[in-house]
Amino acid sequence: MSIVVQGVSKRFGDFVALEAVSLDVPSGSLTALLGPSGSGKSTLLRIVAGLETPDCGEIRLEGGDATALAPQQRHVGFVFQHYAPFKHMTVRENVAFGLKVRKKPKAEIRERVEQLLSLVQLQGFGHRYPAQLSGGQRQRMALARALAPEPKVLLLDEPFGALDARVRAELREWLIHLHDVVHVTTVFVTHDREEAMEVADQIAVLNEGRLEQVGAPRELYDEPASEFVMRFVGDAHEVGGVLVRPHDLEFLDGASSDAVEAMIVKSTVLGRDVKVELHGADGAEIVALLTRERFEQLGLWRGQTVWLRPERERVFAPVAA
Amino acid sequence: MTFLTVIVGLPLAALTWAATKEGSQTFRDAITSPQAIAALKLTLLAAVAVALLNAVLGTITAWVLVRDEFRGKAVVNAIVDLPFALPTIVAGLTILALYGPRSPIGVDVTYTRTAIVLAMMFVTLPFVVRTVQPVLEELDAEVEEAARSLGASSLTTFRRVIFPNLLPGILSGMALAFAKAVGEFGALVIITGNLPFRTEVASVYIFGRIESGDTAAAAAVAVVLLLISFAALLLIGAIRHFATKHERA
Amino acid sequence: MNRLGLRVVALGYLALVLAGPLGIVFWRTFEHGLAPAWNALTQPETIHAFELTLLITAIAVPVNTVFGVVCALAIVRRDFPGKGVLNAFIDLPLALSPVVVGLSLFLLYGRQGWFGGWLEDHGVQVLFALPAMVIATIFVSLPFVAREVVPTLREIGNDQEQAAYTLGAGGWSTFWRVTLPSIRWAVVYGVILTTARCLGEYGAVAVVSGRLQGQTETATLRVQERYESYDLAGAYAISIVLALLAIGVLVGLTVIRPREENA
Repeated sequence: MSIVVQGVSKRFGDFVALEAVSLDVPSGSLTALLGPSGSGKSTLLRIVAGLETPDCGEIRLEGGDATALAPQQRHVGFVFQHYAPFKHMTVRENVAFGLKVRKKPKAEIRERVEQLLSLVQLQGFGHRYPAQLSGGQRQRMALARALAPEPKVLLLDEPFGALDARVRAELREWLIHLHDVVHVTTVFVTHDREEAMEVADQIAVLNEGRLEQVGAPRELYDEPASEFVMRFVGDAHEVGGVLVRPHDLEFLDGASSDAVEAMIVKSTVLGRDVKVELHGADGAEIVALLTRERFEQLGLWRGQTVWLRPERERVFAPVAA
Repeated sequence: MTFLTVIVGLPLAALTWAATKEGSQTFRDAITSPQAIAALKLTLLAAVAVALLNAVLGTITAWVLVRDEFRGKAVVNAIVDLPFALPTIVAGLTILALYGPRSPIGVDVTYTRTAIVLAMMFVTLPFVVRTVQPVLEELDAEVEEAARSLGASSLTTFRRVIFPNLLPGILSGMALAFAKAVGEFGALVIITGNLPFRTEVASVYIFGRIESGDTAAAAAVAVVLLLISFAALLLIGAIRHFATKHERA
Repeated sequence: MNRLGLRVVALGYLALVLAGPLGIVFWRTFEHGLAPAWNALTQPETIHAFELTLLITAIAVPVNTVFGVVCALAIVRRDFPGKGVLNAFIDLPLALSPVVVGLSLFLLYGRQGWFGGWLEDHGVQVLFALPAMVIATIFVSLPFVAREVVPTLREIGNDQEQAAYTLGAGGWSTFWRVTLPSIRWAVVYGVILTTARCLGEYGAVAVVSGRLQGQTETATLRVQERYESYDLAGAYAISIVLALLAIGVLVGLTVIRPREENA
């Protein structure tokens, strides 16, 4: 089911959570809402789910105006940040909830629950209570529960935020795989750029309630529409009045009009790459990233003065401090 | 909301109305009758004394329950709640059993003011203990250790680190105890003998006035008690508000 | 003060004020064997008194439970004008003297009261009869369920309810399947406290009941009546039963408390 967000705004008292946000989510895609805390991404997600109402604007689900529909009527599956498990029910009962409420026959419920528990690799845990599960297991249960009533849209609010790094990485893989299998339109909220880049087909970057840019990960990285997007989606530093990514800095043999003078302060080997920290003429800190090969080729040493030329810079007006 | 209004609001409104029905002159007369004044004075003094005693003894009890370890502590902890569960008239009777006419230890406080304080202590025992306990439990032992490592003696640590944290709990417990003591009836009605001017507390006075049909006088004093209750509630609310002030951003 | 000193003070305090007196009552009741106590308890008026107490409790507790849960939901989940007033009024019965409660009901439903005349004309007896006693008991035991449920509701937050909505459950369905089960231990705790209060109510009921033996005398009223009739054994016997009920309540609370805290 496709989602169209049209001109949605929302305030909480004096705080502007969203301002005139418009977004297209094609059916079957995997979209990330990316942004720092307070950017409005969770609010937008909840508005799509019907858990909040926008002050103005529209939400269209599969072409139909859903703005006034209650969550119960939207057929969206929602996975909460802290999973919101029904603590007094077993895993099986949690997953079955959406089906029980729709008064499906018992046999059908049982079968579907088993199917889902297998899908999320929690078979055998059906009789346990949420309190007896690990964080990652609870997360998978929350997903199974949301998927049980066959929603047309799956919404996830910072689904991996509360987990440790290793589990996060595993679940990320797992979400991609799930999406391949189930093909349901999925939107998830995250503040982690790596996560968004790795998992999503398209990323919508939000900042202070406004939509900064929407596009495929590569697009956002290579052609950021604003300084905010550039800095949020990858590393960027100011060199000679332009913003450039560390790996887009070329070390020149000699001075050049389009290059900037800098002194090497430190170099660190990071596996295959070498991170070179420099101080520019005005004392600004610059970071360059080279392959080990190139670094050795150039024979750079600490204290050396070099000339840097941005190979692929971006200029945004104004370049704020 | 309607339910609340019918059950609580209306009767209280009726009370206030009845008290003032005869005009403010009657009201003032009723309140300033010597017997009424004596009853109110006695009640307030006793309640204040009880609140203070509770502050000290209740805090000590809470301290022992949280920081000390001994066999049977769980039972002792449960016993503290007994006055909550026991009917007040039974409370009065039990005080009488140990400190009354047939006392096995030869102490007889019937018809004395000591009995009033004793009975009030019985029914208000849990209040300070239960408001201080959770605070003590929350208080990280590490905070005290930090104070000691910085050179503070036990007494200083208590005075400057622990006590300020306990104060809101102690104060709200005292306010609750005071409110309960001021209004206590069942525990007092048997043991104090209700001698006017000597051991008659406000609630007993009111009851007496009702039984003799002088509802206006009863209502007048009742309104005074009502206002005291309101004041106590406001005080507790204010304490709570200020206590959590430093927790709110 | 050293640890032992404090312990002695605390335990001594509890013994002198609480345990000692209660122990003596137990002793005195059975001093002359079980017979006198049993006789006192099986007098018809006494039995009626117990029945009356139980009846009133059986009415007041469910009423206050429903009220308490509804109130708690309103306070925690909704914003409305007068919320602060509601909060304050709920706590009022705790701080109010029972005699004041009784008097205000007396004034409301008595013959010269606001409702009294109208009710009497229609043959409805409120005062000096069961209805007034029930109303009085409801008044004084009002706060307990609400006060127990409010913090629990607040702590749980409404995530689970929102999850239920997204899964297709309507308001009522969500309440029964999700909200109520998640607060159940707080409700049970509150019900136990309410029950204890109802069983032990004295002052308010004393005012509105007229204390007619065999008709409007509850167990607590009977204790006083027996005492004033110089039937100490009878008074003690009834007290023991009430005390045992109170201890039963305490045990129940102690058992439930950990579950309530972990909810």
